[in-house]
Amino acid sequence: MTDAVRTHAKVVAASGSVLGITGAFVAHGLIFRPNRIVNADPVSLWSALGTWGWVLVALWVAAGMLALSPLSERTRGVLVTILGGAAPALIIWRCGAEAAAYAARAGDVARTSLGATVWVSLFAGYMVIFAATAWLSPGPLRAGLTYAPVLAIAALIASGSLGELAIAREYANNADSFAREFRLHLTYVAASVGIGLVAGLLLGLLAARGRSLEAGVFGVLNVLQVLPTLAFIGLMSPVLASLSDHIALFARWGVRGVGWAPVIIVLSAYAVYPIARNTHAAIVSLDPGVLDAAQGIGMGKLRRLAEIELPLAMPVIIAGLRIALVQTTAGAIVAGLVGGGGLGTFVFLGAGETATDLILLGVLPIVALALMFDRGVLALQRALGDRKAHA
Amino acid sequence: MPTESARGVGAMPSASRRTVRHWVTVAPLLAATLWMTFDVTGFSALLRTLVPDTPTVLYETRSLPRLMGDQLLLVATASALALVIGGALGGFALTRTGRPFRDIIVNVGNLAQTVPSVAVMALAIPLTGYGAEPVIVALVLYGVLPIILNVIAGIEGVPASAFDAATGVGMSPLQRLISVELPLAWPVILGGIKNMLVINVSAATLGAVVAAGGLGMPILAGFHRYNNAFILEGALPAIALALLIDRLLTPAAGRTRAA
Amino acid sequence: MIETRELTKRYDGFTAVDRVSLSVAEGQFAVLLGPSGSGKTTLLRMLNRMVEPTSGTVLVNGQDTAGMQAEALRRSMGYVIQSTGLFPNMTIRRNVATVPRLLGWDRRRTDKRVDEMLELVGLDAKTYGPKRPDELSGGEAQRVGVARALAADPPVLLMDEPFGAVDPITREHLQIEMKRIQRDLRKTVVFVTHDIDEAVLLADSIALLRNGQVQQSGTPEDLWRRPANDFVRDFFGENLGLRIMARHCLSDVELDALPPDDSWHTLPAIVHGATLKEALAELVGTGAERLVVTVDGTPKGTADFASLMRALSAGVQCADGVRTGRGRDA
Ligand SMILES: Nc1ncnc2c1ncn2[C@@H]1O[C@H](COP(=O)(O)OP(=O)(O)OP(=O)(O)O)[C@@H](O)[C@H]1O
Ligand SMILES: [Mg+2]
Repeated sequence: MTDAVRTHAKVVAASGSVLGITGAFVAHGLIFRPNRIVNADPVSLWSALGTWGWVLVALWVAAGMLALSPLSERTRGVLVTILGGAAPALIIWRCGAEAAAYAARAGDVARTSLGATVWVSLFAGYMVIFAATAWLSPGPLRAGLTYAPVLAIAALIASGSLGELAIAREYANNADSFAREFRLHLTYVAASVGIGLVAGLLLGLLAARGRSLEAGVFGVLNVLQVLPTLAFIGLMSPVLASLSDHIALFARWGVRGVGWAPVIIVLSAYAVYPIARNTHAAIVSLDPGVLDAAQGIGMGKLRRLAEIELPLAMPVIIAGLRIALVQTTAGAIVAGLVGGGGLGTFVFLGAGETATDLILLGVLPIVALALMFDRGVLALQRALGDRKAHA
Repeated sequence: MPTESARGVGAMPSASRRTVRHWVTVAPLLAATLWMTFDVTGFSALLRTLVPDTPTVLYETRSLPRLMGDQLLLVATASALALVIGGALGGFALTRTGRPFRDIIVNVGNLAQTVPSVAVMALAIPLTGYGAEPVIVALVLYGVLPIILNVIAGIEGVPASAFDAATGVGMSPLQRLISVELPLAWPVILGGIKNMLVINVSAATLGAVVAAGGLGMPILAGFHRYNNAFILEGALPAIALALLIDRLLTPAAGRTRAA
Repeated sequence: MIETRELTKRYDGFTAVDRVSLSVAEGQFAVLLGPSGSGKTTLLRMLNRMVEPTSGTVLVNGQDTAGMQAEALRRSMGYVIQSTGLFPNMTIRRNVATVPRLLGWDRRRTDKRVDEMLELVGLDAKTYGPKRPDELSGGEAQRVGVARALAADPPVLLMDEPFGAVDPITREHLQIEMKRIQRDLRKTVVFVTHDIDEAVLLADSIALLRNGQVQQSGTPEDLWRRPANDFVRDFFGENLGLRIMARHCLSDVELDALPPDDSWHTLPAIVHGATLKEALAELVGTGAERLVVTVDGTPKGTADFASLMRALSAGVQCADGVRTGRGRDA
């Protein structure tokens, strides 16, 4: 790491803590409403959290000051990372507690929603941690400190101490359907990425066989990639409807113009592209000497593919898989719009009722899943020794 | 003479041959988009052929020129804003003051892909109300990312030798930016603009969910009322528009590269 | 062992290899030499059917290779190329074990063989076995390439400019070791190069190519004494004689007996493993008429210019294998 990067980190960490302090005072921290429908004015975290507001501000100030301090790099990295994670965790914890207190005062129908500055504070924490980890060398310590706040918040959720927040109430009201839609969402992702992976590998390998095949394959894939999601589903819908009208098997499988069939077709079509493109790029950039030697030594085509070409192309193919996974996880939200269910259901339901917490009930798991896939595949890439893989 | 003309074509500079090939794909898409939008009789005849047993083939609430108008207005407004904001942020990340933020900007730019654009529209409703505004908020946020990432990638991709040569002949930083760095970075930045427009056309179609109008409107109505003609009425022009923009901004003979 | 008949390769009307008829005897070190683009690689790759001939035949042990299964043919010939072509995703052990694995050898036999092969090319199996190709120097990687080619004990080795990308000193080491290995294991080698020194040093026979056609083939001495045309003469240039002298050692020279008096004590001494070129340089450098040749420090006889020349025409080269030493005796 260069000196410049290390000094840059000071600026970013300090900016993050300034953002955090500002966030604490802007009047959009918590929204207390007597019931689910009524609107109410949000209050700032500072005034909502009482004494804990002081602690919060103190944490941010300490993070900023330590970031700029002349402490040794390692100490600074450890302390600032801890503080950068502690502040958001504190906010979530205290918001949960305030929500419980408000529910005790105002009764069961009362709702406490998280306001925009809570999310801004989470982002501020992300900035501080992102910057401060630049002072730490990779390893278990750094990973532990980075993910500690995530685990802390997860523990808060699991302990039920956030149960009176409006989003948790929405979850409680929808627990059954949530489990179902969550599984359905994952099924869409798994099926589409699975299909995309197989098709993408085959098409990428096909395209690597010659210029005109390349032009053909990517000519088609480029067009698919550009189609607007809703229009693409719309285009498939009449086609699938008439297929199931005419072919009994399709009808038996439950293929219809709406529902899972058009969703999986469209998501798979999008997922093919990054995988095919990366497969192709990786294969054509393999060292020709290696392939020549493999052939010259008497390896057959399939063996060359399985033992040399695919293993060597794997890091780049996995990078494509990572893009496809993230993109599909987010993209599967549209299923909720065309009768396919999934987590999008809550988003579109919430959009209709202006119920932000219901929307979040759909969005937050999607984002969490996508981030998990992203980090998970990145870890896989690194484990496979791809030092070039970047966050 | 046939030989003469044959040689004439062969000797034609490849740049202009590419221009010809470019317009050969763009012109039909443009014609198709315009035709679907404005030729009510012709397009409804097509829809009737595609979906024979439907009483109404055209969505009654809003006419196609208006829907297309909504769509273009959403995309154009948001894209213009995103271009300005994204260009400024990308540029900022490359200045001395902005330098420290470069990594985190790129990182956030990549992580933001995990949030579906239609979710941003939905979440913006409490702040903006229903209509065009939440869509524009979402499209700007989404459009900004490819612009920032490509401005950074483009400028950083300028070969050090070109940069040094420009400095060496005594250009000021501004002159260098305008006459060397931007022209060399342009193809990459153009790629970002194309990406943004394509994403925005797609996302704007979803704007119908928050009552912003646009070509998604008949599609959603079609899904609710089981009317495939409505669906196609919105889907076909939206697809033509997306392809038109993509082809218009794709330099002919582009090669694919790994992400 | 290997014979080509009227072997031809055309690419869209361009003839890369033109009616080449050559034969390489068993245990022979044959070099394909020629300027860039003369068709050496194409010719070599037709031998293991990496390139399919347009016309003509390749016979291995009298059998037409066109009828054989290409992969099986290739497994019976080692193949070494300039860029080494080591598989970056496999360890050195696994690279060397490739062909034995393809041939279905069992674990124990393969492991043993890999150890032997690494030993043979001068690499310690313990140290180098677990490494990856990108952890090796160019010379080490090239050794592994040779070990891999030899692993299944193929009777034939095809080599395409194997030492083209290593530094001159390493290259010379590799050349000398290659020659030793080839002699010890009695391999038939077809070796492509455009480096004249390398060709003259290694070859039992050279085929000189130009525009896909063989200009002349024979021993280096043949090509030197009786060049078939001006191209051959010009290609080798005026230093060929000296290069040829570097092929021969004093051990091939019929020595004159030491004179009974002590007069030879004043003559410069040289080890019998030195090349004739080194001996000549010694004669010219010291201005002496004769050299005393020593074996293990004991004077065995003397040699003058005429006896050196006689050894050249006898055509034997370094009978005891390797050039054992160079330069002046200590
Ligand atoms: N696949 C091919 N298609 C068309 N032409 C080819 C092909 N392979 C080789 N050639 C041509 O055949 C000629 C001989 O090529 P070859 O590779 O055999 O030369 P070479 O003697 O090995 O040269 P170098 O010393 O540079 O390696 C060259 O002119 C080359 O351009
Ligand atoms: Mg060659």
